[in-house]
Amino acid sequence: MEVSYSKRKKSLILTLGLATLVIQGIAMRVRAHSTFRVQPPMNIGAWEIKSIPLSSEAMSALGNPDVDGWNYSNALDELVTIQVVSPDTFDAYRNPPILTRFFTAVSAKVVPSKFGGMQQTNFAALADAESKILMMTWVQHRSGTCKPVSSSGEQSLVDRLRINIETLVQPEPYCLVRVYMAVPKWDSDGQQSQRTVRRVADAIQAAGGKQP
Amino acid sequence: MTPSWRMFFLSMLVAVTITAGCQKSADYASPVKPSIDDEKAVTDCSAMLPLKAGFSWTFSTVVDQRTFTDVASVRGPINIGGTTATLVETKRNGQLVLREGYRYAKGQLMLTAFSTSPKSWVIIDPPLILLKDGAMLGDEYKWRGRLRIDGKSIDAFGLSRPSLRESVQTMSAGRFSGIRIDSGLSAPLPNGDRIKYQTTRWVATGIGFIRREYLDRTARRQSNLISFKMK
Repeated sequence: MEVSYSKRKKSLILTLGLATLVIQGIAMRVRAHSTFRVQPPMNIGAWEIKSIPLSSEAMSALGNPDVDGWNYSNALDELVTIQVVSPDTFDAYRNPPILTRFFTAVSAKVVPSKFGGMQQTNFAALADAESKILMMTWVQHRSGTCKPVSSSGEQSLVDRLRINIETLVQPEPYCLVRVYMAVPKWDSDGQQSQRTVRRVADAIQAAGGKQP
Repeated sequence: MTPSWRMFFLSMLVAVTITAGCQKSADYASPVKPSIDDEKAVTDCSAMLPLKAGFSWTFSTVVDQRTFTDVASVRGPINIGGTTATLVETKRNGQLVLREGYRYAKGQLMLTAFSTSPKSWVIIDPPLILLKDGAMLGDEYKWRGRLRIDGKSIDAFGLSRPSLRESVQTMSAGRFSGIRIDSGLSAPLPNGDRIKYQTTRWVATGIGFIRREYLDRTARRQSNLISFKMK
């Protein structure tokens, strides 16, 4: 009886693994049919946009997906970086190399989005007391609705699974969006940086909703 | 597949989906600073920079490891490039280092011109809004116009923003709660260079400047308040 139970357990695990792979495969296929990348607005108030292709290192770390890179800057020499990534690869969910290599996640939370009543993940990171990066990341659908990639700031297997399962249910094209900036030293608790990142995120979400 | 197998497989799928779904609404807010609560920066911006002839502020400024005493004085209204403005003149050891023209109109505090020389002005056309009555922290005032210098005129862009409320410890005048106002103007030149005028002013109600910071080429020079005179 015990041998039979063990066999059954093994085959159950195998079946589950296989089922997960099949679901992932279907999800990737659904996405591949129609990828979509939101186009950030050319300017947001006093902020002007410039296309900045990602470095080969960054592309490689993300598994070489289709990706657009942008910088917003203003007359105060402040800089906000945007990445719009097609979730073609599993690695596309990874945080940018600059974050994973030099920074450690210190806090993350899900905050409401102004658009579609969905939520997004807010993520802060720091290497030491001297430097901080603030990032907001989310999944944006063609219709403009948003949802968080994860709630912990780190993109886990469960998060990827969840997104893929949700994609099966509602196969609407979507992209991953990341908005981040270095927090200047004068902004010790990041209040102004959070306003800035939030403002850029709101503008991208509003622009996404208008696109066909 | 037997019915019990199917049931088990389905319940596992449901469990995975529910677990994944639960992640969506979880809030891992640990040391989540900052908060981005809306906060009013100022009610009446004319009180943040009282500009009456005779008012003055004395600052300590470090330049290349040497400490200087700067005195900024309100000189009263003058006409700069066709606009009436209040002149604030800053002298270092008796030598003029900066002139700025301010104007308060229609609930807005504006910068109309600046100069680092006694002879010419850089006229900001239209004036750059620094602060508005009822401004919220983080409000941005976009500026696009022309800088007029010695009869020439160049396209420029910029912005101004009340960024933070801060408690500022001055050199010897005490501690004040003030508003940090960041402003910047940038004008690209044909040779690829840029004219930049980046300034940060900390102002407190009824006192005016409690700290100032200017971009001097590539270094930021901070001036900390020693004393002020309101007569």
